This record gives sequence, C-alpha cells and structure tokens, in this order.
Amino acid sequence: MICKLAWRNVRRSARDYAIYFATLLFGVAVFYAFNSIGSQQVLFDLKSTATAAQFRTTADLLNMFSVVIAGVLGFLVLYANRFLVRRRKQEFGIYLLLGMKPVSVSAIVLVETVMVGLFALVVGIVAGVVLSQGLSFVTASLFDMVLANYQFVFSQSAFAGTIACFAVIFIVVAMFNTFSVSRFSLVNLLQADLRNEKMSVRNPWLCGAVFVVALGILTFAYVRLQENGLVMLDDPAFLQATVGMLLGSLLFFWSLAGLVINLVSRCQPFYLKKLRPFTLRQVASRVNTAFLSLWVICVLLFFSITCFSCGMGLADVFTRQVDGGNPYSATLRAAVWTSDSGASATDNPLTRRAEMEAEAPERLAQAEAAQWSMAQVLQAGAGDLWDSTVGGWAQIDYMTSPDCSYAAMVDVLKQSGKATEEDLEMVSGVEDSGMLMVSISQLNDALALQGKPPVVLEPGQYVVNNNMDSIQKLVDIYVDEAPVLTLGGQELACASEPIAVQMEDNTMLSSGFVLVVPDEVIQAAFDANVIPTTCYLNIDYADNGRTDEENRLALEQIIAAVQPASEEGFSRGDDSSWAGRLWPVTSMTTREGMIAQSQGLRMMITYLALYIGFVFLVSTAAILAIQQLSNVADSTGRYRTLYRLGCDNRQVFGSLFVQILIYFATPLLLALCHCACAISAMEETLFRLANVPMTGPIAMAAAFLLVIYGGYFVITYFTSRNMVKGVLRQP
Amino acid sequence: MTEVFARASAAHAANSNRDALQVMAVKKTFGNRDNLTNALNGVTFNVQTGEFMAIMGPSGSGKTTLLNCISTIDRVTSGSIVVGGRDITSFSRGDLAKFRREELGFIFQDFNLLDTLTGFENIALALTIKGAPGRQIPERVRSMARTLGVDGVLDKYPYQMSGGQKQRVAAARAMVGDPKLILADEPTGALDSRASAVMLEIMELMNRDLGATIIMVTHDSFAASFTDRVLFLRDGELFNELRRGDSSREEFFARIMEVTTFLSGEVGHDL
Repeated sequence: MICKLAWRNVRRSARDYAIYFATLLFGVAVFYAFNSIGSQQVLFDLKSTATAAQFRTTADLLNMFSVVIAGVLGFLVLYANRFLVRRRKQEFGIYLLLGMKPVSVSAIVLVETVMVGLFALVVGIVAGVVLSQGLSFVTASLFDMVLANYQFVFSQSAFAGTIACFAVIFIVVAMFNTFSVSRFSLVNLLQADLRNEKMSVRNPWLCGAVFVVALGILTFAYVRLQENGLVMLDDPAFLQATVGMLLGSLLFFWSLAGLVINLVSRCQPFYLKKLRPFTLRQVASRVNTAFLSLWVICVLLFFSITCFSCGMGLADVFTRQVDGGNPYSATLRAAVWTSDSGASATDNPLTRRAEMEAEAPERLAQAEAAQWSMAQVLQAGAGDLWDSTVGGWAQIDYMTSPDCSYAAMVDVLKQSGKATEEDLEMVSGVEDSGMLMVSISQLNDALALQGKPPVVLEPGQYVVNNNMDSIQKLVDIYVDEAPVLTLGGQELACASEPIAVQMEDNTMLSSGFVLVVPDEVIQAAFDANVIPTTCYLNIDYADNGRTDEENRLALEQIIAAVQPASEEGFSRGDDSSWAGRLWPVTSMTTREGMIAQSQGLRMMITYLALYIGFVFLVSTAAILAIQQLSNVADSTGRYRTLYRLGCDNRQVFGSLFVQILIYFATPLLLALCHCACAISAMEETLFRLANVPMTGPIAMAAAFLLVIYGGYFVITYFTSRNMVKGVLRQP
Repeated sequence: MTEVFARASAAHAANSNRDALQVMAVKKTFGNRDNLTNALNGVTFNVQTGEFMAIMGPSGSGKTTLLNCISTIDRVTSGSIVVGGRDITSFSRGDLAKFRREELGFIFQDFNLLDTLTGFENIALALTIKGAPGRQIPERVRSMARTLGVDGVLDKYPYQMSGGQKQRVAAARAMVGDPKLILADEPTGALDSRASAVMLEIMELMNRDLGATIIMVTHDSFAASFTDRVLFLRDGELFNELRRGDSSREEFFARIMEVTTFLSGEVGHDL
C-alpha cells in the first residue's frame, strides 16, 4: 500500500523531482567517473614505473578529495530533499488528518526517497561509466599517448565507493525526513500556504552607504590582489584581499536590493510599466533574506570558475616546457659544496674549498684527483656498466665568479633606464651573489651532445646564456648596453646576441643569465682556489637495446658503486648522509622521469580542477535552482492574482523569467568580476611570464559554465513555468 | 412580496444598448460523461450600465460559477455572455486576459492584494498591466485612493493594513482602471460588521458617484440590501429577482430576508 502510494507520488510529482534527480545523477556520475581514474591504468601500456606512480598519486589524491566532495553532495541532496518535503507539507497534513500514523507517512517519504535515489544511482552510474570512458581519452591526451588498445573499463572500486557513499547519504536523508515528518504539527502542515510574509525594504540611505562601503572594500581587495598577484599565498596582501572580497561581496548583496528598489521605484516612468513593480518587489523581497545564500553562491562560483580556468592554466605553466627542458637522456647533479645543500656556512666562493677541505677531505681529494670530472669517477667505479649504458656525455661546471657579482648586471640595467621598478625588483635578490660562469668548451660539448652546432665565441668576448622567459627582457636590455666585464683579470666584451641553451634536464627551461666565457677565465678561477658550485653531467644513453627504465636502473647502480661505504667525518646536521652525496652525484634526473612527472602533474591538476570546479558549479547551480523553485512554489498565489487581474501568460512568464534571470545572473556577475581580477592578477605574475595564453582555459571554463549553470537556469525556468501554468489553469 | 421573474428582464434584452452585460442562456456543466453536474442551467439576465446588482443563493447554487464565467476565469458550456457589445465566450485565451485587464475590475473575498507590493503599487498595477503611460499613473492612483479613503496607507504593505483598508485598496485597484464592469466576490466575507458597513458604503459611492457598474456575489442579505437589484440563484437557475425601486435600504433588506428565509426553508438548510 505504502509502496503503491509512494510510486504514485513520485510519478505525479516527477516535475518537482527533476532538479533533485538531475543533481543526484550529476553527483553520482561525476563521483564514479573521477574515482575510476585509477582503474584506467590498464588501458595504457605504461612503460615506466614513474608514470604508473604518477597515476596512482593522482588517483589517490582524487579519492581523498572525494571525501570532501561526498560531503558537499550529501549537503546538496539534503537541501534538495528539504525543498521537496516543504513543498508537500499540505499533502502530508492530509495523510495525517485522514488518520495515517506518522510512522507510515515517514515510510512513504522513505520509500519515495529510496525509489528516486535508486533510480538516480542506476542511471548515474551508467552515465558515470560512459563519462569515465570519455575521461580515459582525456587521460591519453594528457600523457601524449594514443589509446591503441582501447577496451571497456568498469571500475569495481569506484562502483563500490559510489554505492557506499550514496548509501550513507540516503540513510542520512531518510533519517532527516523521518525526523522532520514526525515533527510536523497538523495545523502547520495544513495551513502551510496561509502564512503571512512580512515585507520590508531597508533604509535607502543606509543601503546606499553600505553599498558604497562594499564597493570600496571590493576595490581595496582588488588592488591588494593585483599587488599580491596570487603567487605568494602567505603574504598579508593575499589575506587582506581574501577577507576584503568576502566582506565586500557580503555587504554588496546586503545593500544591493534595498538600493536598487529605492532607485528604480523613484524613477516612475520606468518603474510603473507592465509587471515591473511586481517583478522588482518580488526579487527585492527575497534578496532581503536571501542575500546570505547569494553571497555563498557568489563565492562558490568564483572558486569554481577560478579553479577551472586557473587550474588548466597552471597545468600548462608547469608542464609546457618539459620537452625543451630535457634535451638529455639523464643529468647527474653534484651540488658540490654550496649553501643550497647545507654544506657551506658562508657561501663565499673563495673560502668554499677550504671549508670542504676541512669537513669532507676525502671527497675533495677524489674530485681534484679526477679534475672534477664526474664521468671519470663513475667510469672508474663501474667500468663495464658505464660503457654499456652511456653513449655520450658532457659535463657542465658552474663556477661562481669571485670577482664579479650580479650587482654589475643590476647596475647596467639601472643605468640603461629601460628597466622598470618591477623588473629591478625581480633581480634585487641576486645582487650579492657572484655571477655564474660556464666555459665555452663545456657549452659546446653539451651542444654537441644535443646534436646542435657549436657557439663561436670571438676572443675577448663573453656571451650571455638565458632561456628563462621571465627575465628575457632584462637580458635583452643588458646585451643592448654591451657592458664590458672584468673576469679572471681579463676585460671581456659582451657578444651582441645572447644564446639560449638548456644546460641540464629540468622540468622547465632553467638557465637564467649565465655567462659563457673563454676557458682561460674558468682556469683562472680554479687557480684562485675556486671550486665548481654545481656540476652537471649530461648523459645520452648508449644504443644498447635496453628500455629507458632499465638504463635508469643501470645509472643508479653506477652511482651506488661510487658512494662511500662509510661517511665518517660528514657529521654536520642531523642527517649525515647528505654530505656523502655532494660529490660525485647529489641527485639524478632523467628525461623519462621528468616527462612522466610533468604529465602526472598535468593530469593531477587538470583532474582536480575539473572535479572540484565541476562539483562546486553543480552545487551552486542546484542550490540556486532549488531556492528559485521553492520561491515560485511559495508565490503561486500571487501569480494567480495577476492572472485574474488580466495578465496573460506571456506577461506572467516574462516576469518569472526576469526574476530567475536576476537571481542567477547577479551572483554570477559579481563572481565573474572577482574571477577577472584574480585571473588578471595571475596573468600578470604567472601566465604572461610563462607565456601561457589564458584564452583556452577561460573559453573552457565559460563553456562549462554555460552548459551547467545555463542548463540549471533553463531547467529552473521551465519547471517553475510549469508550476505557475498549473496554478493558472485552475478555475 | 414583490416578485419579478427573470423572464421579464430577458424580454428587454434585445433592445437596450445601455446594457453593460448580457448573460444569455448560460449553461455550465462539470464532470464527465457518466456523472454530469449542471452548475448553471440556462441563466439569462442583463445588467445595465451604472447598475449595482447582487447575486444571492445558497451554497452550490452556482453563483460563484456564474461570476467565474463572467470574469472569464472559467468558460461556459453553452450560451453567451456579452460585455460592451462583444461576446466574450468566443474570445481566445490572449483576448480574455486583455479583456480582463481592460474591461473588468475585481474585488475578492480575501482581497488578493500582492503582499510584496505597497498599497500604491497594488493599485498602480491595474494600470501598468494595461500599459497606461507611467506619468499619469501616480496621479490617478492618488485620486482614487483619496476617493476611497485609503490615501493614508499608500506606502504601507498589506500586512500593515487592517482588513477594511485592504479591501478598500482592493476596491481602488478594481476602480482605477475605469472598467466597464466591477465583479465583487463576497467582498465583505472576511470583514467584521463595521468594516463591512464601510466597505458597502464605499461600493455604493463607487456606483453612485463614480458611475461604476457592479455585480456582487454575496450570501449576506445585509450586503445585498445596498444594491439596486438582487438576483437569486437556486440549483443553477434564476429563481427570483428583487428590485429596490424607491424603497429604503431597511425595507429592501426586509424583502431580501423574506426570499432568503423562504429559500432556506424550502431547501432545508441554511444559506
């Protein structure tokens, strides 16, 4: 009996259930799809364990975020459900009046919830499976792979997770429903429609003042955000901008309705036209109470849009240089004895050798015996393996100039008058350090390893090497000035064209303002007891038929062979092992590892941005939709009055459309302003410098917004139109 | 008891162009093929321009259905209703809405003021939806409110007004558009006796001084005694018609009471 009644109720109020159902369906589908990413691994012939590890990390992170997402979805389902229960108060009242037990009414509601929930779960999982197949193509493109052996993937773990998560949500909803039905009092249920609403419009002067204050706070927040540039998140400017934005938006919504209604109603020729007074009052009457939710919606929208667009942009920033940044099969790095590695106390190039001699004499002896050639030490340690693994190598020694610091560069930039304050600020931190130098022969060895023609350096010249976009402008200014530098006792002229060579494998193009000098200058530095700051040994694998993975393992073995068995005498700091690795190898990067890492990072950021942005967008849209629908449900009496007074359907629906549009558009517009500000701040500090165009991510975010937010708007309008139509048809 | 039967007034239906409303042989049937209810079973009468008329009858007599048909909220099954020379039963939906906003004014039992709008805006709405020029509206609203004695509550919201004030604002809304016909459905139904008396005097004033043609559905004999003529409906048919003529309100009230007592005695339950 109860099931029959529940089934009929669901069928009859299918329209009311539309939003609830759509939201559940979206939630289930997205939840399943993103949790199934881990299982897509089987689709890809993952050659390296590095890529597999990235895959796992991403999947784990997404699963972790799923807990948060589940919370959001749970709240959303509960909220949507509350609307349904509220809308049917009278119906429940009649059940109770007819003598049905509250337990039975609760049971009806429970059965209805379960019916709709189960249906949504089934349809949602089907949609999720379809969506996840689509996502595997996205994954393939993120990893620059072609899905050669496509097969249908069904993730059991994601399926189980989805079922479990939504089961919990439904249990909570069922408990909530049972509780709220049992709490109803009959008189309230039956007279649910008759309650009187109190309208008031806030004092116009107060509203005006608050509005101005809100705009002021928002302007302040925008300015602070531009200053901060969204790069340093622990900067007080960022905190101020955040608080300002939240507070400003809140006051904005608080005052907006009162202000607009006062201004507009004073402009009578405009105001007193058709249904405008009704429409405006209708909107304003709710803004007075709904400003809080508008605020939340605006903030969530802002978050979601920024998440979408900047997430995509960030993924690009982090990964777009990975190909150019890794010209060698592998790079072994020796951070010889610098403050970065924690070894040098003073980081004075002239005292560094003495420090190393005191603290790590064996290492220094080994290095000097090999004339700082990493390859020589490694080859001596594991001869056969070295020969079979390494096809070609080229070492780069960065020397810190003892007699010329970056202050010289800053002076040149200042005197040129072409560098702005901001430009100079960017380089102000390096003034005290000595210039980094690399010998021309080492550079040409590296170029030869890359298969590129050598750089010709005229006698008495140095050339600036730079491939970092962020300081390219400064390098150009510097080179235009053609300053003469005294290096190692020689006066050297600046070559007219800077060069851009990647000297070691890195996630990005990482060579910033390095001087390439004649070999004598480097020799002079060695003669002055300067030891290399960092050594890079770039390696190309031999054509040995092994996979990249196997070659990497071989390199690890080679390195292990030369690490000292005992690290006595290297006891500085808590972890004594660091010093032992200063020479000949501190760390290793491989092209394959870097690419896998960057693709993994791209996948992680992209999916996180999509997942979070998507769920937040659906949530905000659904909350708005439900609010609008319950408002329409509460005001059907007014539409009936309008109809009786002689408004035709067109006028009534027009007013409805405008009301819903205003409610959807207002938070969106403010959120878009916030986004524009945030994105332009990041554009200044991040995207433009990194040369990443934001049009793509922004267009994508706009498309998502249009489909989801716009979709919810359309559903809301047509559902409420039908609700009103039904009321108007009654005689 | 002076009884003039409905057929008498039907007789001069053809010749008069002073008629604001002609209801001719209107039938309204509810239900399906198996179970028919004739809510109106061939009702015919005329209302002259400037007349103040009441329709009375026991519950289920069809008086509200009749009013709904005249106000075009409901459609007749057969027969015709002519307002200002046009048969409104043949109108399309859009024309009906236009007809309602241009030719009719409504006063409802529960006022039906829009609670989100001020008194001023509630009255002005009747003009704005007709597309009246915005410049004229404030003056027209104010003068109507003054006439009906509610100019003091124009800036208030309905919840801040008393029942009588609300009903007079509703009356102002009905009148302000200068309609051909004002339809009042139990206008005193939700008012106490004092507010009722004020409201009825207002309606009398609307009729007498402003020349409004008013049709009022009521089952309150006291309210009906303020009108020029009372039609009695019973089981969907016109049962009786009383004209006030030159008699005083008290005399007219007594005559109405005779009919209602007779009706309630005959039907066997109260009105």
